[in-house]
Amino acid sequence: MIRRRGFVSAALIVSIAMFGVACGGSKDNNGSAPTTAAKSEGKPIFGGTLTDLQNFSGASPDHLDPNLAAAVQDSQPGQLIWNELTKTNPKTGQLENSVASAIDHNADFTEWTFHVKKGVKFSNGDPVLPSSFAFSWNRLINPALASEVSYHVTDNLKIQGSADVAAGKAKTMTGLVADDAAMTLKMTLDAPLNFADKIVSHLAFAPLDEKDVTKNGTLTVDKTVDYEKGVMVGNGPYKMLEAHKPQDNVTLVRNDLYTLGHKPYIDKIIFKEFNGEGAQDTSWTTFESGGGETGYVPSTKFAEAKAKYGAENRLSDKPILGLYYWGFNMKDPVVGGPENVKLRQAITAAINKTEMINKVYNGSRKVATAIAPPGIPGQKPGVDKIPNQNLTAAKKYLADWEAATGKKASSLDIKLNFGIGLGHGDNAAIIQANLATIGIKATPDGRDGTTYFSSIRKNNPPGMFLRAGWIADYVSYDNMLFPLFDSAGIGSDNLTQYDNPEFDKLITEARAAKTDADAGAKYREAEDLVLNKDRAAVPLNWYAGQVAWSPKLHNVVQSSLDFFSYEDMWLSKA
Amino acid sequence: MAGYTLRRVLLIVPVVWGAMTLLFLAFMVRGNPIETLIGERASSATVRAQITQKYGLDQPVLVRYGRYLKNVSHGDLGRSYKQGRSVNDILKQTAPNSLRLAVWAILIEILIGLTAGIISAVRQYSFLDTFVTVSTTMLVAVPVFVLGYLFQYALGVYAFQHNFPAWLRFPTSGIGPNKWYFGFIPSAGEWKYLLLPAVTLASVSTAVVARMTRTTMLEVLRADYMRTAVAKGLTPRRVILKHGLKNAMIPVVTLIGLDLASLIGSAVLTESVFNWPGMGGTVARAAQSLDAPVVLGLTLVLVVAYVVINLLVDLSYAFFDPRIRYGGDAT
Repeated sequence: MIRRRGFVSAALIVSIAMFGVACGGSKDNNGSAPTTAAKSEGKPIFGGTLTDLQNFSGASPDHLDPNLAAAVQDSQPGQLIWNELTKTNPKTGQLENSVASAIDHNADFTEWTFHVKKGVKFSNGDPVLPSSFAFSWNRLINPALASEVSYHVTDNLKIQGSADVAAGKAKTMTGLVADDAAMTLKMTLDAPLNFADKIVSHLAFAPLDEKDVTKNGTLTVDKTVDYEKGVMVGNGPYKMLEAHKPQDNVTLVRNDLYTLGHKPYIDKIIFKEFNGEGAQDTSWTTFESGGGETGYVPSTKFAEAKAKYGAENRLSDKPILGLYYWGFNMKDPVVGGPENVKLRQAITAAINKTEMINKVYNGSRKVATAIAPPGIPGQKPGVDKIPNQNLTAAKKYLADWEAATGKKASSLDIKLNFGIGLGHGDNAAIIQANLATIGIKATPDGRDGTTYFSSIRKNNPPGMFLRAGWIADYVSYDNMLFPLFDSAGIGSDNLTQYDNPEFDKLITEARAAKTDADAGAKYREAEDLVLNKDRAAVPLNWYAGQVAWSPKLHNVVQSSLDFFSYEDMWLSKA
Repeated sequence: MAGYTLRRVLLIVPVVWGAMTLLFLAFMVRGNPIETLIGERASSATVRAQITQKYGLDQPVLVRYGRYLKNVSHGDLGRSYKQGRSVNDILKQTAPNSLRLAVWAILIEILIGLTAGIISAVRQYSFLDTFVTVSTTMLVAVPVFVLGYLFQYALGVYAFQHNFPAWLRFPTSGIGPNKWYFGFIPSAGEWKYLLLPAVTLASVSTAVVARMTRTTMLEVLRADYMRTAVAKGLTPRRVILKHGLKNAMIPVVTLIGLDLASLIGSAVLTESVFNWPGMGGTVARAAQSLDAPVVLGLTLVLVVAYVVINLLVDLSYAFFDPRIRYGGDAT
């Protein structure tokens, strides 16, 4: 999933996750989990209108259609309009059943059966059936839709027959069978996957009312894309009041037919959209002038806002499951390969992560001491044995590298690759200065921000020490490692081109593990390989929330996946 | 006059075609928008192929160019790569907003700029003249976005946090209820949203108009016919407005006309600071994301508007100076 906020690194996301599974039978959906919740306050009050200035503080959404929405912010309204088979509890971070009443799977996790609750309705009164999910999931990978989140089905779940549908050779997946009479949805996968129930909690797997989607025609490019231009029908706590007005707002009102949770407290939510270069500043100014109840704090104003709103417990600065890192191109003759491990370690030990956080992000982020942030099940802090700047160690590593290779540090010129904008250039300047302190020359290589990642993936021109970022789609360890460092991700999200069969094997074993503890141990071992044995990347900081709210708003909870549960908030009358 | 007007109208065709062709070629050179369409995350070859086909990016350049011209000639400006919406819809949404903002900025510009310029010229070297000179210099020197932020802070943030009376508090962003009478007159709830961006947008141009009016008025005030008018016993007000201002207006009208055309599409900074959903910001963001259909479609409209306003400005010269005739019959 892409995070698309101004100053923050836009991150990638994908993939899969793993942990916590029983050996066959039913899943209990209990796992260790992050808690990023603010405390509850008083007795809830019904009514009022919430004007949200934080969610679209950076840009209007590209898509609101659940089968198309890719960015975190674009998905936020969808989180309120739809409920999927499962969901991540925003307070505990644990997976819970939502539309599913029970979930069964076979012993090797290739066959899954979702039992669908009876009586669940869309906001137009139509029933939510297993076929509502099957229709949605087939639509998700239909080539006519060209959805950029179709990879959840084709690459992550790998439902049997999904490749044929994606290629336009079939209309429906053979491995997805909906039985509306029995209220079951059966899913057969090409390969074992012990966390499929987590993946289907993603918004892309929302149920869709086929009658509503196809009312303007069959699944052609224009008709189906046009669906999001009208009032889309969902089964969540809120429903759309009117068609989305781009560059204006998304307005939701309470869905009175919602039965999957408590009745939402706030009557109406208006998500205001901000666009342009100074969008975040404008949205923040609007918040500070009383124009809404929630505001996104620009990084440049974080310290000031933390002093003001944090003191009143009106600021969410809890960690979210995201990582900002710089990686080494492991195929590069200067920094890549096993012969240059000591050089990579020297560079890592020279970088001052704290300086970067203070100067570029105004203290809004946390120093990363591992790839997986706190809150990931199985994660242990401090995996990275070079957690922050250590110039003595850096010089030692560099001397060892010079002695082993016969090369001189003074002859190096490390290219620092990044997409221009969003503060990455400032980070590059800090790294450049840090490396100079140990006698390594570095040259910033700022590239067009819109095509930076594609240039890195295509090695055109090749990267050397490159910036990247990542936010989890699901609360999973796998999601922080597999896409970024498994050899299957080379040319895709494995930007460092890290290729270690031992790592791949550990990931495969973790995915097949029968217990959380076994999976966690495998993932930690894999993470240790990437960081300490091979040093493919330097985790710099973990993302954190940057949202403030008005004293009128209560029970604000930000999930570790960067979503807010507006259905739990309420507004005081005054 | 009619022949001249017709020739000018016909000139719109090559101007528009040239602009569209240049922009189209520029976007071809700029590269394939597929990366922008996909976003920052990786994607499978299948998805890339689907998106490429969906937007016709696999077609040869000439085919795409021909198809684009054909569609435009039928009034179809295409579909946004980024938003998936029809450019016609985007135009319908943003053009009225830009036009309203530009028109109100121009009205402010005319009202304040002309008045200040006339006073400054008539009272040359007085305190008022010095004040106008100093203040207009300051306005020209202060970047629009700085002025916008100052307004936002003073009349938005500070006013809210210090409990100013409601009439002194202004919203700092957005277009508000978007309710207008006769298309241009803001409703009761609307004018507060309009005022700050309109004043900000007008600021630089107002200063320029004031300076320009002062200069031309000073020149006209020294003309023989002005002395004649005074000698005839006309009131000072009539001398200045009827004989002075009218003759001084041609360069000012030219300036205001060109300004209106540019304010419609170039108010990017003001739109950005106040989150005003107009054409300028939309085109700027589309250009950044290589959303060619939006850039081409909206630019087409801006080019036409620019040419038409220019034509109207030219034709207005005859009103201000009856000696000017078009179509080769001038003496």
